[in-house]
Amino acid sequence: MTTFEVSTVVPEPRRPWDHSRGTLLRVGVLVTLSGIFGWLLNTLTGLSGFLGWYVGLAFAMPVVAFVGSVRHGWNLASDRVASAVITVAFAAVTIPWVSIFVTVYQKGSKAFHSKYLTDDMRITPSSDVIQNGGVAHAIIGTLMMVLIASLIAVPLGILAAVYIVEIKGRFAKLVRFLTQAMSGVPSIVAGLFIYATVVVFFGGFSAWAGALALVILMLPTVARTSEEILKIVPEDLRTASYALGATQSRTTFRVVLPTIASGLVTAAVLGIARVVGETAPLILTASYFVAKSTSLNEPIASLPIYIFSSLGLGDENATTRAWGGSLVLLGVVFILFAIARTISTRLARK
Amino acid sequence: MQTLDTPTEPREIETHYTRVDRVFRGFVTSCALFSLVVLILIAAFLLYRGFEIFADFGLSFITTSKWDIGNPEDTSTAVLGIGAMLVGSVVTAVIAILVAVPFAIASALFIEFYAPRLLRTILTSVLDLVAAIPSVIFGIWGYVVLLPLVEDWSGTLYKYLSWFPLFDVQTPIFGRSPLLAGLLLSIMILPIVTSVAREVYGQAPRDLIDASYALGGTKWAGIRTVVLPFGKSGLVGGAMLGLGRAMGETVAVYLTLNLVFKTNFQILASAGGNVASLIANKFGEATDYELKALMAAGLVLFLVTLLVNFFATVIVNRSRKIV
Amino acid sequence: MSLIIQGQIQRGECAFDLQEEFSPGEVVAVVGPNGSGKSTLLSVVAGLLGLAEGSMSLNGRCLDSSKDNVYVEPEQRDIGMMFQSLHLVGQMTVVDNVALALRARGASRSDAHTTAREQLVAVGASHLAERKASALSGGEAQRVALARAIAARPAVLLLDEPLSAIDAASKEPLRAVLAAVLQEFKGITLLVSHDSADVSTLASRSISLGG
Repeated sequence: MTTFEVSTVVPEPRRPWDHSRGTLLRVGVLVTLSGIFGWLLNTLTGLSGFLGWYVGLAFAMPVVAFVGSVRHGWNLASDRVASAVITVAFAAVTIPWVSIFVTVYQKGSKAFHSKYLTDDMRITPSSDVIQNGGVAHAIIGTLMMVLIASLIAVPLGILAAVYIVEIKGRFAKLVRFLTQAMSGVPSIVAGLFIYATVVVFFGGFSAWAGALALVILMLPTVARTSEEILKIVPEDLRTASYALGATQSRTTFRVVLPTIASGLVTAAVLGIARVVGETAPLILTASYFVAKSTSLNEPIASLPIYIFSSLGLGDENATTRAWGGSLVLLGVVFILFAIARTISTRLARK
Repeated sequence: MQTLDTPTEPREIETHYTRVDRVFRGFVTSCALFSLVVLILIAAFLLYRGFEIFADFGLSFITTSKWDIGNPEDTSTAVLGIGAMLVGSVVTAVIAILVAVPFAIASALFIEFYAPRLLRTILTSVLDLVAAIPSVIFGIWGYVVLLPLVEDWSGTLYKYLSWFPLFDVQTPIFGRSPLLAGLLLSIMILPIVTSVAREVYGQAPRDLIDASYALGGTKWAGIRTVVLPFGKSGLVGGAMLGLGRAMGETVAVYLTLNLVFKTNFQILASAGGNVASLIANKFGEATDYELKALMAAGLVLFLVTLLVNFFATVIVNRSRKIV
Repeated sequence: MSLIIQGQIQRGECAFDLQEEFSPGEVVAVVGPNGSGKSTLLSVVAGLLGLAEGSMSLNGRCLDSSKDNVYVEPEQRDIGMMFQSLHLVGQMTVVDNVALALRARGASRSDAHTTAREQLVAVGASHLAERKASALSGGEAQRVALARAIAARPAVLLLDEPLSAIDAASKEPLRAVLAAVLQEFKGITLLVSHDSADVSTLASRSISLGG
């Protein structure tokens, strides 16, 4: 029997090069020697700390790899040197990543106290001691704006994908192209646009305006991801639906979209992750507020602006608050990512 | 019944949709064209709001490097131009690209060809996650962690290389310099450039690589002769996508680059700015006339990034099509 | 009141002329070797493929004519098709799958579900109603697909190898179900099958393609 599940099982490409035990030993010796060299460089010259040590290691490793293999000929030596350079360069790339995660965690956790997630800054100046105030207002504001933005951007994004994949209309190529172009609109420009229209016409900063700016930034991500997912729905499923008398609209809404529902959730989550930390457009649209507020027509707080404005004050407690906000924001992004990952692996496994 | 020898071309069939489907198709089409409407509206509104500036200053708005509102009561005394900011946008974005691209190539090759399978799946996820780190977090990290490091490095660079104009400064203060902003941007755009590079490298003809390997070539020989030439145009597109991102970045640059209205090519000097950070910086206390200038600046930024992204998209799409 | 096909059918290398009239109540077996165009004929009737030349009409309504450039889309043809590979919608429940064709013809949700459940009883699958279609065994899915094709009482029922892909033991009971269902059915049935036992027990006549 054949029922339809979406399958994304990609056959694993063949890899003729496998890691043998000999390779591991060789790499071990290589790294150890280079590490010692890095340490030597560290103690003999002005380079200091982990970075200094790493710079030493990074320069030593290709040299050690070359010296160790050149007796086997030029070809092998160049291969070993290339492996060393590529690995060292990639490892260097991960240093800032680790540093960001670690710093945000270490500095951010200092801002936490028992009521950090439930209090606002209504009666607390940013420079006040850490035990007062919290980020609840910013969390509420971010959630509200992101929710409104999703309610608009997710359907629009999915429909744009439906247009490209299901309707295959005359403008399909144009729409795909425009969506890609739209993903490159700088976030501050989206903010300026909403300021020039919504904020100016309706007389002031508001949660509404913030949400609309986020729509512009969210739409391309949702459309693009939905398109990729729609493409993996087998054509036979549509044909079968037509042959039972279902119209194209019914086929799309009742058969195709429900089949990939979890994939569309992934698209929405990735779109949310894209905009949840947007700062620049909110400066120009939602502005800032210090208390919990759910009014759509008033300025509203948000996590990114909470971080940004706390940082601008230069006060030590305010800076700690900025790190605390960063930790919360990074946590939100993490959770969103974990959700998207879980759903899409479940989708792939089916 | 008879079997024909020469099958003819299938006849053209016109499709007639039911009324429900016509409504459905019309509705979806109009929603899909929303992005077109938005792009046009952005350009139109920024032009409308900033038109007075273009009328008053003409081309000098993008060549002058001065931001002086003069007498707030009298707009004719104002001299406004974003020349320095445009230069700053380009300088920081170019530093970002020059640093990010080699590392992105190495990372893409590492993930695609060197990492063990398990590590490869993990790294792909991590790459996506890093790409989603909000720019304000990059900004605060750049300001607090990277700034002292780069200040230190700048001192060393200045000490040994100040004979080279790029590394010279008037006064040896290295704080929030284009180098710092550029390095931070390079860290921010690395995930997207790496993703694109990884995608095109992954599509390199596996049988050619295998063939190179089977003929006694090393892994590096296969990469050098097959993978890198194959992925060249895709990489250029990816780099341009990164360039577009870097030029449009606001908050991270705002936090790590001193806003000074001076055309500055000395990347160690604590002066510069880009168009996006100018808008964020001046927006809060802007006069009406200044706001119009910010709209005009926004339009210039919009058009420049649109152009960069246009070419990037064309190049990336073309390299996808070849596959 | 009949289905009349006069024309040329063609897909890829396979092409043939057909002049046939099918009457309501008939169960016509379409037989022939692989690649002779049996499934292609069903696709043409369903409207998934146009006639290469000629015309086709159902109950006096022109469905397809190369001369007058008429082509009615599949969803407007009043047909029900059971595919060889079934194509149930895996994420939907069984009863939702069966109700699909009824809902497509404008029935309300509750009416469609009532009729769908009756149809499931008729094929002996009523206990499966609330299951996800993806969780069915081969024989169960075959029953559900049959119920789905016939539930809306289409003018033409197209069955592409309805008894294939199941083991011999479950084939007999299923054939009995199919016979009973077809007995009740007032429309035209076109049945593609490889098995001569199916043809002799189910069909009232047969046409043979490809020689």
